[in-house]
Parts: sequence; structure tokens; C-alpha cells
Amino acid sequence: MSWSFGEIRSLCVKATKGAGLPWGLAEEAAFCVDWLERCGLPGVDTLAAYLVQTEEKPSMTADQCPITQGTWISDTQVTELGENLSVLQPLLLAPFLSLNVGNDPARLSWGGGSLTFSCAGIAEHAGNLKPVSPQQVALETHVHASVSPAAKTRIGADRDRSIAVLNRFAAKTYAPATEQSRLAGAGAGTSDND
Amino acid sequence: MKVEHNQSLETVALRPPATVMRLARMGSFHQSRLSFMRVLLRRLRNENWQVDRPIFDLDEKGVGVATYRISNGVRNYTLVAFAHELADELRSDRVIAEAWDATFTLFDGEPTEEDIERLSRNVPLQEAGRISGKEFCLSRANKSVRLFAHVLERLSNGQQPDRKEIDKVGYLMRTTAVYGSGKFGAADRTVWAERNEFSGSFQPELLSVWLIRTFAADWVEHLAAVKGGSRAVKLDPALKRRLGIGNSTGLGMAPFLINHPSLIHAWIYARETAIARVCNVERASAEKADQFVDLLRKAKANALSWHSEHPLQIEKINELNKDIERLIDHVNSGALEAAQPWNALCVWSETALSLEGQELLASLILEPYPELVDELSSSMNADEVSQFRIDGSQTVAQLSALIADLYHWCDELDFTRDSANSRVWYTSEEKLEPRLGDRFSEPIEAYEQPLAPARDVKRLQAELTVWDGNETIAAFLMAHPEHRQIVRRVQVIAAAPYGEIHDNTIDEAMLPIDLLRCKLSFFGATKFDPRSDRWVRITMYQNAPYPDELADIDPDQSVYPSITHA
Repeated sequence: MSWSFGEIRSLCVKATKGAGLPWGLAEEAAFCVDWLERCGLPGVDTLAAYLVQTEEKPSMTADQCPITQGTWISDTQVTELGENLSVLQPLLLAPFLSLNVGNDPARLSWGGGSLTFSCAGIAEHAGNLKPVSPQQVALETHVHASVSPAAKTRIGADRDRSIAVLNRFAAKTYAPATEQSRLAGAGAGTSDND
Repeated sequence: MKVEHNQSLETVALRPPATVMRLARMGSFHQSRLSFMRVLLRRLRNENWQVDRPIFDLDEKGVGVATYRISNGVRNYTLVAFAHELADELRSDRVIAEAWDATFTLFDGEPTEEDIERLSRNVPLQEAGRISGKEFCLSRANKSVRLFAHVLERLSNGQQPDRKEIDKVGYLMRTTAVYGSGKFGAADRTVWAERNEFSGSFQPELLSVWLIRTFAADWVEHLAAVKGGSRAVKLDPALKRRLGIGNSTGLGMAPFLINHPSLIHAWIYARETAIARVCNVERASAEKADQFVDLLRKAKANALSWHSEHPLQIEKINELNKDIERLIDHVNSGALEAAQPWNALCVWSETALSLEGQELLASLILEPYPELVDELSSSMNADEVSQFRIDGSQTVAQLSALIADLYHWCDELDFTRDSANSRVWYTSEEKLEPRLGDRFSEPIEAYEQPLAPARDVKRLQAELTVWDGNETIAAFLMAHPEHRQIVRRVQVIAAAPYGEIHDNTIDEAMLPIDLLRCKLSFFGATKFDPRSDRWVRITMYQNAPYPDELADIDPDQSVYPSITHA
């Protein structure tokens, strides 16, 4: 069984909102996962891991949030990272950076891993894509690399466990049913046997 | 008729968003040449698509599977229909239903036996099942119990059904959900968006529905044959054509209009462009004028056959009937002889007719002008991905100016009043049904969906005023990520002004059926029959040709059937 990109995007928005981030950042998280998965990278797993980390450590600041830092990168269109930028799940920064580097490949690296990419897709990755601790990141631009265009059209069953995690967060955005909401909320209530 | 070019005529501009994008007007929209069902049937006819029925394996109770294959010789699609036996107490149009009279999927190509076996384990479960990237749509339909029984009884006895009974309901079955675009595992829209046959909006979904209509007729004829044996007859083609396919729609559709501003802009902008093109026609030729007068008579018959039990809609239909009379009188008094006659008619309607009448007129004047209108249908889609990125280099002052320009209609809204904040859009835990609740009497505010642009714009505006105008939006959003969603929306609306509804979508007085009506009119629905302020039944494809009639009957001519058969 596989998943469509549409349903995963929608799930990512709800899950990120359910984890306590505002709607606008939740939409960015979905963009991020979409981009990574189209490149064959574990976007779903990375977002699920990040949301669990926020749950376990609610005191975590926006400084370490890859979505918040990623939107700053996207909004300011920079191709240079702050010297001491250190985030959880650094892979999630790549989609935002891809918007800024255009077709000129760049390499994002952190403690134990790296990813080379452009706006069209990825060239190569190395090391640990899902480090558990915050990682100081660095960006090298104008890298020589051969980028393969993002080509995935479905998300595979190997993401099922992380999708279950996202569903758990998404459920926090659903209102428990009450009798009042059940009867009036959808506005039907008449017989449909006519 | 000799027509002299009149140099003094001014170019008629598009009606502005401030006029068009009001809920009361959107809730009065009528289908037009640009409606998606009409675009679909026009294309299927022009491209000579053929339909056959490779499998029709229903037992004596009518339970089983049938397939409908549509082909243009190059590509095939197959509607796979599963017919079930359903106890009356389980029959519900709502999303919370768990069983249906029949369930369907639209398959990309021709399904193998294995595909059908896989689908038979999933499609009948609907939301609880999974479909794959080979399927484009998932849908279900319930019988109109009384009409289905009547038609079955009559046909099995060798008689045709009573036309009055048919007209009272208008369909044998009504769909209660048609899911596409990646839902429940279906193929993403990107898989088929570039295929010419699906150019526009909602084409696979509406193809499914058109084929479901054929299945409904085949199903009742099958059951009549089982029951009546050699006595049984098939439906008379003319009567059969009067059977459309129903649809029952609740709140689930309403958020779509708010969540897809670029797409809604594309739809409304295309229709407004069409209206303006026709309004700029200098003279109505005798042929076009005659065509319009004929249409008015047909529209009158059509409106008279539109029934509803809902007080709001009864009032609107009454007004519409009076409007059509006034329109006929006005046209008979020579209105079409004026310069820019269609524009003159529309201007006249603004004070002479109700919103129902004004919008019917706006759709009707498009009918005689396929050469000005039809090509616009190809622009009725949107690239939402390229609109997604926020321009963080914009300054606070620039964004404030944009809001003042695009959202000045919010100035008159007062969100310190409870009545302006009365509603909450939310999703229920129970089968994820979209609902609307009362902010002050239900514990639901924590679950609110972001579907109140007017309120959110006012909140954003208030925050922006305390910022230095030279600061960037990037800096503003770093400090206020809670405004990120509405900032994105404002930037999108700057390029898509018909994408915003100029009303408060959480006001006490807001009627969700206005949102539903707008969307369904673009689909091509007729005979809107609200069941409450947030639930509506409609008819689709009534009088349209069936697949075997498409070559002989022009679908654009059958929307308003000729009086002699009406």
C-alpha cells in the first residue's frame, strides 16, 4: 500500500498544528516533507521525529526549530547560514534552501551527515540523515555535483510507522464528538430514506 | 440587420470583486457554459469518446459488480461499480455513514481481475478502505428510495414510470461524496492534470458522476427484468433523460472555497471575463436575440419545475420566477435593440431583479456566444505551488497598503461583537466530519480551523500598526509566526482578487449553503434544494445525453430542454 502526496501534505499540516505550531508554519512543514519525499528522502520520518522531540522537550526554542529557521531562510532568500545555526532534524532545512540556490548545487552539512541538492532535486547524501540531537549546520554553495530530478510520485509503505505518529498528532486537531455537535454541527438530521 | 460601429460606446469592465464576491450573490450563482459538467460533455462529444460495459455481473438481488469503460481509442478509463444491499436504517447521506447502496471508483485504464478483486475489498468501505495510484476517484451513492421503487415497480409490470414522480425527485440515485486528488490513496492531481481530457477543474470526478448516472438506470432496469421477467420493459429514452443524478452535500465542501483562493479566482475570473465579453458586444444579431428569447422561455419552464421545501429557497425560487417574468417583459419591450444590449440588460437587472435573477441573467447571456465564452474554460485551474512562497522582502508598510486596498471591506466588521465571532469551523473526531459550531456554547474553539480570513486580517492589521513600516515581513513573521498563514493569503489574493470572499465567514448570520451553491454552480448543478442552512441536495446531468446518445444530442442544448418536451 502506498500514500498519495496530497494526503501526506494534508496530514503534515494537521500533525504540525496538532504539535502546537501555528497554521502558517504547519503549511511550511508540509511543503518541506513533500519536497524531501519527492527526492526519495525520509521527509515523513524526519518531521515525525521532530514533532516527537518537541513533545518530549516543550521548552525547546524557535532557534532550534528547523521549520522556523527554514522559513527565515526562505523569507530572506539567503544562501549563507548564520555562524552558530544549530537545529534539530537539519534535513528539514534543505527544502527551504533549495528555493534560494536555484539550479546551482549546494551542500548542507552537519555533524554526521550531508546532503547535496539544487532546486531540481538531490545529487547525493551521506551519513546520518536523522540525528537525534541538535546539529550545527553549514552550507557550501556552487558545489560541483550532478543532480537527479525529484521523481517520486508515491510515498511507500516504509513510511507507515511515521505516518502513524503523524496521525497521533493530527488527532489533536479533531474535536471530540458531543451530542450537540453530532446533531447540529453538520446540519443534516433529516431522514435520507426518501 | 445593418450594424454601424458606434464610436461612443465605452468598454464594459469586469464586475469588481467587491460586487461579485459577496456570499449572498455567490449563493445565487447559476450554472453556465463554463460549468465543469458542460465542459466535460462538450469535450467527450467533440472527441468522440465511446462508452461500453465490459462487466455487468449483478445477481437477482442486484448485488454485484459492473464496469463502464470510456475510450477515445488512445486512452481508457473505467468506472468500477459495486452494487450492495442496504438496510434502510443504515442509509444516510452524511459522512458518518458506513454503508451505501452502491460504491464506485474511476480506474485509470482497464482493471484486471486482480484489480477488481482488490477494489472489491476496499471501495465498499469508502473512507475506511484504501485505493491506489491507479484510481482517480472514490465515490458512493444512495437510492432515492421512493422513486427507485416506483420506477422498478412500473418497469417490472411493463409500464413506464409516472413523469410527475420522476420530475418530483429528478434522479434515481444521489451521490453523497465524490473524492479525488489523492484522497484515501487515489492518484494525485499531478498524475492527470496534464492530460487534455481532464483540462479544467474536477473533470475525473464529474466523469465518474456521469457514468454513475448510467449505472443507476442500468441497475433499476436489471432489477425490473429480474422481477417482471418477460413483462419487464426498459426506460423510455426521453423519460430516462429526465433522470439526472442527485448529490447530497454538506459542510465538507464549504472550506474548499476558502482554502483554494487561486483556484476560486480562476473560476470566477473566467466567468466574469465571459460576462464582460458578451456585455461588450455592440449589437445583438437577430439570430442571437432569437436564441436568447427562446432560452428565456426554457429557463422559465426550468425554474417552475424547481422545488424546495426550505423556506429560504422557496422565497428565492419565487423571486426568480417573478424575475424571469420581468425579464421577458423587458426583452419584449425592445431591450435587445439597444447598443451593447447585454450590458444594458445587466445594468437594468441590478435594480429590477433579485440576486437570483441577476445571476441567472449573467449566466444566460453567455449561452448564445460559444465563440466568446467556451475557450475560457481552459483557464479554470491554478498553480497553487508557485503561489506558496511568502515574499519576505515586502515591508510592513507595503503589506499594510496591500491590506488597505484588498480588504477595505473588513473595515465595517466589528469583531468585538460576539455575533461576528459566533461560529467555529472544526473537524470532528468522528469520521473527520467537517462541522460548524457555536463558539460560546460549545467546547470547540481549541479545534478551530483557519477559515476566517476577515477576522485574521483584522488581527494582522492591528499587529502591523505597532511595527516600523520599514521592517521586512520576514522580520515581522519571525516575531509573529501566528500571522504567517494570513500573510501568505494576503499575498496570494494580491494576484487573485476574485479568490477572497468579501464577507465574514464566522458571522452568526453566515449561511454555509451560499458557499456550497457557488461551488456546485461551477460544477454545473441545477435545482438547489437546501435541507438546512448547511446542507443541500442538487441535481446534475438532468436532461443530458447518456453515453449512447452523445453523438446525437448536443449536451449544450439539453441543459434547458425544449418546451415541447418539458
